[in-house]
Amino acid sequence: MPRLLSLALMAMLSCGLAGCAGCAKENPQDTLDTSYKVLATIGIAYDTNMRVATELRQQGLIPDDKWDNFKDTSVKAYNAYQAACTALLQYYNAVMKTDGSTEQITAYANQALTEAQTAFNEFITEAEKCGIKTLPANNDTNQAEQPSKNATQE
Amino acid sequence: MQTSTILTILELVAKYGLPAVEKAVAAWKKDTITEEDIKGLALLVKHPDEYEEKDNA
Repeated sequence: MPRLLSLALMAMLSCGLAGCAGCAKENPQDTLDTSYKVLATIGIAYDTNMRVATELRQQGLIPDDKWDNFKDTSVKAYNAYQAACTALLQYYNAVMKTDGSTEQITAYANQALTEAQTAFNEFITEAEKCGIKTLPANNDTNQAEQPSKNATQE
Repeated sequence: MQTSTILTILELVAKYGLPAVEKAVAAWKKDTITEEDIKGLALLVKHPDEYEEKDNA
């Protein structure tokens, strides 16, 4: 059973959004770069989770109640992700194409990214309940060598 | 590159498949993000209903 998301991915997400918390004080290009990479990672992880979850569902391995919860959170994660993409594009246009104040759009983009991260975390939590396991946050070599302990299909 | 990094990449490839890992690595290797890159983010994911429709087709 594939385990989805690694410590590395989660660390990237945390670092990226932590960096974005200080958007207004950072170089706008750096903020754009980091935010883009965070969103791209969320998107790729979401897509992989969805593909695996759909396959498991079709094999009858995810019961209705868990699937319904997973579906609800996946819709929220999808909407939050799309909103963050829109906000990031508006931020890009504000900082790259105008000389005006960017404080408002920076706050808006920052909030959208934070909401996307929150929704994604809930999505991952529901994915885990469906049997799609993530690596533990304190993953170490021993755990990596014993994937069956963390990757069992419920 | 550290051995642990290589092992992590290999583990990711084994679990997610090469295409997903290649996409993630490519995203993190980008030096300068353009408007087109940002517009492309929205296309990385599909609405949950579309995954089921695709697999039912």
